[in-house]
Amino acid sequence: MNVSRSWKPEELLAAVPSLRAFAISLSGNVDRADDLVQETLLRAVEHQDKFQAGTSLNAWLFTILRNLFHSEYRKRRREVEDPDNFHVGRLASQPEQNGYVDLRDFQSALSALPAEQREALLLVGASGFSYDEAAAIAGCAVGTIKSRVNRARVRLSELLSLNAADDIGADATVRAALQDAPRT
Amino acid sequence: MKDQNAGRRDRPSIDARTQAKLGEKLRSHFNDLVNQPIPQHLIDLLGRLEAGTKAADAARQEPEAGPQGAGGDPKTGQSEGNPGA
Repeated sequence: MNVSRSWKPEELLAAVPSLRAFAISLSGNVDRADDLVQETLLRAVEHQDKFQAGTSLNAWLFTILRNLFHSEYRKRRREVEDPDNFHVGRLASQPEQNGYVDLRDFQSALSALPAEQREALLLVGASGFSYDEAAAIAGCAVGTIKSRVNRARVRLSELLSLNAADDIGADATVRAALQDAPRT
Repeated sequence: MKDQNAGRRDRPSIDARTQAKLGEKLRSHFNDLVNQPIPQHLIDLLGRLEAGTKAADAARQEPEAGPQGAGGDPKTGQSEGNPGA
């Protein structure tokens, strides 16, 4: 805990792209995400004696960032969330118009999820963490993570109209008939 | 009100194909973000942190570097797991 450094400098750099992608997806705002990443890096270095060598640096950084996000989120809770206020449009260099639009749509849907569900889905479905790792990062039980991921998937597929009926070219009436349960 | 998930109580689920499509969209969204260039101010910050860490390492590795010396000081670890909490 004293002499040897906790990680190699290139490991910290290598962790930044996925950490930042997590921060952007979680917060829906690039500027806020970059602030979160910056604060995370500062805290990581400041508290590096608490990092256990041999454990995942990525998981540790994600934990710091999500804790920062949630403590900030609680403070901002009273602010009304405005779906048009996402700054994802600032993302640099998305050459194809379609990709650009898709990105915004997907982020809008993602941002419509409760933060805890969004976080669980991002950790498990995008960042490559196991349910166990995700539970440790989010500070909750594995069962809770599984349930959040499940609810996030159901809600997101509704928001994105991804139900299987769309694939067979069903018209609205047929689709409505195929709905398995009323959406409220 | 037929409910195909009746057996699973409050755990509605989605079919495997929908989940696969969703997973693909999610990963594609995430990968687009991962492939964004790191903003310069974060790269600069990493550089400063690296320089600071090197200086700190050098100080700690000096044999007689004061109270913290080579033995270190385990009690500074305050056993709070998450610095970001």
